[in-house]
Amino acid sequence: MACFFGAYVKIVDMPKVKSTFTLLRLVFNLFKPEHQQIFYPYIIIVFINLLVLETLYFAPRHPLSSFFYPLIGRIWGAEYLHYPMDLMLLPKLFYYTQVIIFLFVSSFLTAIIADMVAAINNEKQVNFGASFQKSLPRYIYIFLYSLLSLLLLESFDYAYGLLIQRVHQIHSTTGIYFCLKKLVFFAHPYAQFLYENIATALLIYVPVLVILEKKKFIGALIDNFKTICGSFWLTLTLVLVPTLGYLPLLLMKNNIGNLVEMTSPEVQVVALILNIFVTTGINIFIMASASAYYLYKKENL
Amino acid sequence: MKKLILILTAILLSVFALLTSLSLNDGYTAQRELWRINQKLYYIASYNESTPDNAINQLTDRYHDFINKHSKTLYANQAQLMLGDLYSLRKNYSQARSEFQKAICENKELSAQGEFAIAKTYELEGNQEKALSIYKSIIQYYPLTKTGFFVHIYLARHNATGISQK
Repeated sequence: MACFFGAYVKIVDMPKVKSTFTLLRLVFNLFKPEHQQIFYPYIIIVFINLLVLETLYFAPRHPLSSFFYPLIGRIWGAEYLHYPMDLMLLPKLFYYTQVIIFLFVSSFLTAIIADMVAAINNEKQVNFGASFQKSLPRYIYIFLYSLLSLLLLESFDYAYGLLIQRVHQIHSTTGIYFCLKKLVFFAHPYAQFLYENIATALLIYVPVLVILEKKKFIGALIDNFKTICGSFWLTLTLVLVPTLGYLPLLLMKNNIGNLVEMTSPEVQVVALILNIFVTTGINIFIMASASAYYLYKKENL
Repeated sequence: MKKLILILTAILLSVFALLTSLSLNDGYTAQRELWRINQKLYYIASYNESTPDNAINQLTDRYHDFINKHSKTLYANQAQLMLGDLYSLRKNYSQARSEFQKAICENKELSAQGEFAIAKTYELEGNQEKALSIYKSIIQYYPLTKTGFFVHIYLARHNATGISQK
């Protein structure tokens, strides 16, 4: 019988947070030099993102400007083609390309991690090429999963936007309604952080089921909710704990205006580079955790 | 894994080096340089009274260096305008006018801005008639520039405070 990372860990009561940390520690130990190919998806995703960022950074300059000038000029205005406004636009441009990268590349490469975790669990050698080939026929289902998670995220964003619109109508300058208004505005990036985690947790087992159980999209979606039933809080913790590493970057992002003023507009680029390294790492770690938890649950329950 | 990281890093660095070398003379570096010098000017403008003369001299030198380095570009004309502003800030209006005059070139927008800045220095000196004649000449010669449009509004706003279109 397959064992869990070569060691039987007795976690009597799974939904307890204490168990989640044990699991996270085990997953953390997966990323060791012995399993160096488990880092390949991370390296490739980071590389693609950096290459795209590099291209966008040079967008207002010759020779790329001949393609980007009409595009940026028409959509955002000619001032965004010059220093330093081009750097102010860069995060937005990069966000749009990141969405495309996520849909077509990142989500699939991240999902491959599930197969690698399963290989380690079965005491097999981790092989990125083999996992890639094995997972390739499931590409379309992973694409659908990433599309759905994006839509879910957008709908959360839309709902919060509606809340902000409603709160705008509050005219009080004191009292509880005023506090509520302030809270909704102030908490926006943190609320976004929280609902992004909830959205991730709600669908996290879909790619795991698609890759490991060879499920089709709808089947994986149904089984995903079955897996989440009874362990939602544990799953949310699995997602939330690694994502806490993003908080310093979130803080940086919220104060980017001040940082730019104190240093130089190039800080925007530094922030984006850090963002690539951190978020890719977090996403991969979450996927590994979800896969590990799924395998553990399957073997122990 | 080390080999993979090395290869991918080499690709990223080569792309960066290639794009940098291809864009060397496209004016972006000049834009960045000018923006940085202008930031100093904005800072001085905020603390004009307390800024020592040597700081002003240093900034003047930086503008001159920039103008010499990029003499055949429009950025040099833009720098000339900013240098004029620096002299205006220190109430050296005649020197400011001379710098603004140098900014006048084939580019209509920059020329209109130069003329407008010259008119403004006359206005600040109290020579309203001379200022008004220049404002009118901007409307006449640069009617389709941003500054040309703005002069109409500017004059309308200042009707009550001195300058008026007679």
